[in-house]
Amino acid sequence: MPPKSNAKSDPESAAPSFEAALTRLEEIVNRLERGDITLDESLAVFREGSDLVKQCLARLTQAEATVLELIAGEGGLPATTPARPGLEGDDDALV
Amino acid sequence: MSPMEAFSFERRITTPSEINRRVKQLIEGEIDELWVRGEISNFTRAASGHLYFSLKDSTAQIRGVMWKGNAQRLRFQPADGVEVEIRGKLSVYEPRGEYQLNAAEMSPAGLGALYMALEALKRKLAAEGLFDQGRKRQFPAFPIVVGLVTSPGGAAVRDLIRVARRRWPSVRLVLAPTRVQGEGSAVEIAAAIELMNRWGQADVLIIGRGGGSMEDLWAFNEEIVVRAIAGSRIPTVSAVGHEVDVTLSDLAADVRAATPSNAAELVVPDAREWSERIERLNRQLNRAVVDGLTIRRRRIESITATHGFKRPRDFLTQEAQRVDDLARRLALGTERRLIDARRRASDLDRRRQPALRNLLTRSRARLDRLSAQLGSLDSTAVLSRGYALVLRADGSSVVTTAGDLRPEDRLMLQFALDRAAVRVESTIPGGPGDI
Repeated sequence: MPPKSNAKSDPESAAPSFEAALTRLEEIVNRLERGDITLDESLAVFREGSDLVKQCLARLTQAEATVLELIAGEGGLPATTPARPGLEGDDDALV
Repeated sequence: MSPMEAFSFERRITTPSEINRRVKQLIEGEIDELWVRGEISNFTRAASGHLYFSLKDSTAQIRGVMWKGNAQRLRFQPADGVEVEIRGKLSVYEPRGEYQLNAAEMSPAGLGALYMALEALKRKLAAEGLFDQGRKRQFPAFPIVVGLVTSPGGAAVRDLIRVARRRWPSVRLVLAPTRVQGEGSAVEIAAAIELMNRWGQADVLIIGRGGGSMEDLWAFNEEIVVRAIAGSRIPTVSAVGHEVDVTLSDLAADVRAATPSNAAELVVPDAREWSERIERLNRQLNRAVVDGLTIRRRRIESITATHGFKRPRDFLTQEAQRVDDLARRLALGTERRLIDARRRASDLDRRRQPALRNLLTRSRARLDRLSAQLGSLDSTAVLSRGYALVLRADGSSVVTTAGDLRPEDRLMLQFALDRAAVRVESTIPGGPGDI
């Protein structure tokens, strides 16, 4: 494995991915709908589910789209650079 | 018919049918299958699926037909003005005396050799298993980083960015720029795919370009590109040209998209769709928790409604009421009792003297009566033996000595059963005498 040249490659690894949050949320809803759960548990998972809903919706609406270019840098190692003008921050892209 | 004619030398008379039949035999028998190059005109596709057209060069034209079965195998769209190469045979349509080129195969002019090479390459790579359905991988449903392998200046990259951002505002796109047509472009595309794999941080690669001629798209039929796609560790989506253009890259990729925009739609999830899904889950979540509480409340209500539960509850209620009562009465009662006790005490005080007096009086009377009875019983016993009791005449007192008597005193003698009234004659002092 060549070393990764881009340190900020995965800033979202700390928080659960959207998919993981969604999967957990579906589990919670299914569990609550089955009803084989104690009252205490149901209130606990309900709280967890509500947090997941907030997380997921936040993930959907945050608009920090980036376009980078991947080039062969020194020694042929992959390196990312900001995209050339016209690709990143293209006004059309946000319409 | 004139007599002259009847005597003329024998003429050999034929018919249109026979001519056409002879021409047909001649043409179809003598001229083998051939390749013809020309420009298409008067192109029509009949409802039956057969294709009719003329094939012309600068000075002449010939009618042509391609039957449905062959037309279905065409890999391009014939149209007026297109220069094509056709493999076919000449045939004669007897009813009209027309001959035509019956086309078995047709390709754009100049590409014939390329097509043959392409077919050979396709067979070779297919034999290696590069196009096997079993090799197709799924790409992540929610890619965080999407790799793009395409030209930085083309319409394709703009379409990709626009559609991807519209669908998922925070999507991260990384472009590995490459030329996509012209000499050496295939090597560049393959290198860009390999660079993406060495970088290793994209979740999925979109490899492609916008529409163009078959020559423009040709790099995506090159072996080096097809092998790079098949060898990519990152799942690949091909997006080459338009819907009708199918390249070997499309066959090797995990997923084939019809166009670059379509690729972005396939790869990048739609945030609006998903926010609806999340909202729906949120509603389900709330409903489920409320339902859970409602079910529990009903369960409790149904339990408390049963006789078995009601009795203890009634019992408890009654107990509670009793406790309340007791408490109330305790509070009231304590006071009342104090008052009662006090009142009773003072009553007793007030009633004590007469009561005692009565008691003493009653007791004394009873004692007197008893002692009188005792006395009388005692005397009766004595009297019954012959003795008599001497009482004053009024019975008020017993006379015990004659010395208390005077002559003429009236006395009463009490015998055991009856009495006698007597008068004293005289008193005699002295002892008891002879008795």
